[in-house]
Amino acid sequence: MHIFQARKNDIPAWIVLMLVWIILMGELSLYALISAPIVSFGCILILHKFLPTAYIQNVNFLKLIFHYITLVGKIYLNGFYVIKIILTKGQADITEVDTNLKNPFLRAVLIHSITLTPGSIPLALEGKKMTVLNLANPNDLHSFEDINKLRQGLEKALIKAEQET
Amino acid sequence: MEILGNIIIILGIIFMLFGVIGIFRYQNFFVRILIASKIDTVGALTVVIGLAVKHGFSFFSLRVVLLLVLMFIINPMVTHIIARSAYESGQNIDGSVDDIEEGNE
Repeated sequence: MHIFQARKNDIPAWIVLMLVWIILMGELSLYALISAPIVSFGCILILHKFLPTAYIQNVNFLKLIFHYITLVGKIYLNGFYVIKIILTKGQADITEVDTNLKNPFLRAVLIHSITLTPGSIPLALEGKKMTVLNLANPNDLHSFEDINKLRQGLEKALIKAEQET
Repeated sequence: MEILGNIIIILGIIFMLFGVIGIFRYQNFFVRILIASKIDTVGALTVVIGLAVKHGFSFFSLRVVLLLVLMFIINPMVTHIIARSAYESGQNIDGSVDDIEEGNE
């Protein structure tokens, strides 16, 4: 009884995992429809046992989807910037920026998004301070400004996901 | 749809080509990994989107989109781990290497 009460909040995750299972099966057969809820329920049980789910309780995942949609735009913009550096001249630079996010999970999402954006790889996250490796033009070196601008752009949607829950 | 898909796939391959040129052009490890991560994201993302567009709405396309989600999660982690381990092993951004073993001065 206790297990089923605790799983009430997991219904959206359960539905998503069922859809993933059906997609992986590649057909809408009776076997897929019966096995999907069982397998996804098992996944959620394992998730609760091994992952620190307390961090994601104050996160609005719908807002997080919008964050990833805006991220795709930033990936392409920075992709063209990196092509420009490849064709001209570039050097690696390390800079430190602070994040305003309070939730550790969303900080991890921010770090992950910065890594996805071409031309920047975070090396460390200590508290609110991020150490970021950046690809820059040696004749026009503004690493801190560039990374800070990227951080601010990415943080906008993440702050909304943190607050509106 | 097939022509549009092919155009998107070719664009992705062009992105990858620039990445490969960048890797050969630069000798510095950190510059190389920054450029290689671009191939992971922009190039692969475009090719996978192109594949999904080419096949229309089907289980194959949905599986490809699922693959894209997994790539979005796993690729940055791998890039981060490689860059961080190089940085912590004493590799400097100018290409020199610090001797961090105890007793070696």
